[in-house]
Amino acid sequence: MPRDIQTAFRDAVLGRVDPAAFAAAHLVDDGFDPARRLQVHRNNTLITLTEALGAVFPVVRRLVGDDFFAFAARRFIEGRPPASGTLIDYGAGFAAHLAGLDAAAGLPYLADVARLEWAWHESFHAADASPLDPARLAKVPQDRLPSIRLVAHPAVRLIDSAWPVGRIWTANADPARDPDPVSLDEGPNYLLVLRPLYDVRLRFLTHAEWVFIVNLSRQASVGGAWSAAIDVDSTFELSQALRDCLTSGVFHGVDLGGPFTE
Amino acid sequence: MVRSSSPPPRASLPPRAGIGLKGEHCQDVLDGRPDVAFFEIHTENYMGDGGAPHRCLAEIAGLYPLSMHGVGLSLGSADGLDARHLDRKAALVEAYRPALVSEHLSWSVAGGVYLNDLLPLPYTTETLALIADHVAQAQDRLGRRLLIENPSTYLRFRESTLPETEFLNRLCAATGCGLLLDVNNVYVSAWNHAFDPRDYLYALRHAPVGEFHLAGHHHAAVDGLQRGLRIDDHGSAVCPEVWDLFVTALALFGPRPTLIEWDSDLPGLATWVGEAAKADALLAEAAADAA
Repeated sequence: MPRDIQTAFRDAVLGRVDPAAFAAAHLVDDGFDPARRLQVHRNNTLITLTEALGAVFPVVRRLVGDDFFAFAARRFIEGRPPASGTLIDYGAGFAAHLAGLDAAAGLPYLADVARLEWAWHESFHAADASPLDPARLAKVPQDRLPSIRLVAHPAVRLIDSAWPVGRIWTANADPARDPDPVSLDEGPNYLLVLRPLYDVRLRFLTHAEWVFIVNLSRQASVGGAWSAAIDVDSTFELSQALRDCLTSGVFHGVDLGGPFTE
Repeated sequence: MVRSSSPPPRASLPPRAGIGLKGEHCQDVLDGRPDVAFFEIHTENYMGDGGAPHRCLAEIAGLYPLSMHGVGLSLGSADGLDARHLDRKAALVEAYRPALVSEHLSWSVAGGVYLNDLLPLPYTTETLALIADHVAQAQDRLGRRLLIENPSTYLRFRESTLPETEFLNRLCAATGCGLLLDVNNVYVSAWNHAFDPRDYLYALRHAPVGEFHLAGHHHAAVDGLQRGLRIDDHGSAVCPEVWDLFVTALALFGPRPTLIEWDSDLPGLATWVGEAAKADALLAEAAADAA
C-alpha cells in the first residue's frame, strides 16, 4: 500500500494525474480542499527544482528572463525529473531540452550556452588532482614524443559551438569585466573549461588547439592529436601547444609507454 | 521488528546554538571565526567529488564541530533505500566525522524519481515497520546513530492510524535513533491542522531528543482558508511564536544543540550569528533552571 500511495502522490505532484482524484481517495478533508493542500508539495517541488536549475544555468536564465526560464524548467522537471537525491547530478539533459523547445527556437545559441554552463558545473565539482609537472615531459626524447599519451585533468571540459557562446557567457556572467556587446557574427567558439585548483576558468582556443586537446583527452597519442590538429590548421605548432597545455594545467598524468634511457 | 541497536554517538556537541554553512559564507567564517557552537551542512551539497565545496568544508571541520543533515536519503520510500546515495553519505561521514548525523521522517523518491521535497507518510504500523527498517539499515551502514526530524505537514492521510508523535516515539524505541525536534515544523504543522503545538511537545518522549531546529517560515494567504497556511521555507528570521514554543520545548526536554536554519533569502553572516546568540541566551537560561 505505501508504494501505491507514493506512486500516485508522485504523479499528482508532477501533474501527471488529477490531484483531486488522489486527494479524494487518500487525504482528510477538514473543510479546506485537500487537493489544494497537495498543491503545496507541487509548488515546493517545482519551485525548488527550478531554483536548483537556475543556480546551475544563471546565464541561460539571464538571457531568457525569469518567466521563460521558469516555463522551460517546469517542462524539463515534469518530463525529466531528477533520478537521485543528489541534486548536483541534476541538469545534464537541460541543454538538449532547450534545443528541442520550440518556444526557444528564436535563440539558436541557447542550448550551447547551457552546455557550457553544465560543463562549468561539472568542472566545479570534479575530483581534485594535481596538474602534470612539465619536468616529466622534459625528459622524453623528441622522437618518442608522438607515441606518448596524456591524461586530462578530471575538471577539464571541452565545448565547441557554431555561435560565440564563450563571449555570450562572459558578457552575461560578469558584465563588468566584459562590457562589449556580443555579435552573433563573431563566429564559432572553441572553449576549454578547467580548474587546476579551485577556481573554474574559461579559455578561448583556436580550432586546431581545441581539436588537439579533444583528441588527447580521448586517449589519442600526441602524434595522433597533432595530425588531427594539422588537418584543421597546417601551421599548428606542437611544442607551443603542449607548453600552453602544461602551463594552464590541462593534464593530470602521462603514459610514457615504457621507460626511457637518457 | 528491527535488527540493530543504536551505534554509539561520536564526540557530542554542547547544548549551544549553531548555524548552517553556505558556500558564500565560507571565507567570512574562516576570516571572522564567529562564536557559534557548530556548523550544519546539507549532506547532499557535498556529494560532488572535489573542488571548492570540499576545500571549504575541510577547513571549517578543522575549526568547528559539524552536523550533517541529509535531505535526499528518502527513508520513507516504499522502494527501499538508494544504495549509491547511502554509500556517498557514508563516505562523507567517514571523511568529516560529524558530531551529529540527521535525516527526515519523510520520503522523496518513488519509482526512481526524486521529488525535491520532504513528502509526508501515512502513519500506520506498516509504514512504521518500513521506515524503521530503513533507519536501521542506514545506521548499520553509517555506523552511527541517526537523528530523525519531525516534518512540517500540510495534509493528512485517511490511512493514518497513529498520531505523528506516537509514530516518532515508536520509531525511536524500535531503532535507537534520536529525534531532531524541529520546533518551527511543530508550529507550522499545528497551524496548518489547527491543533495546539504544545500538545505535540507533551506527547513526545524526552530521552530521544538530540537536537533542536529553529527557522523562519512563510505565512501564505489562501482563498477559502481564512487562517491561511504556514509554509516552511527557511527564508526569514525565527518568528516570536516559534521562540515561545522553543522556550516550552527547553523546559520539557532540557537544553540540546540547536540549529538556526536559513536556506532561502539568506541573511548576512552577522544577522545569522545574531539569531544563534538569541538561541544561546535561552539555552543558557534553561541550563541554569535545570541546575
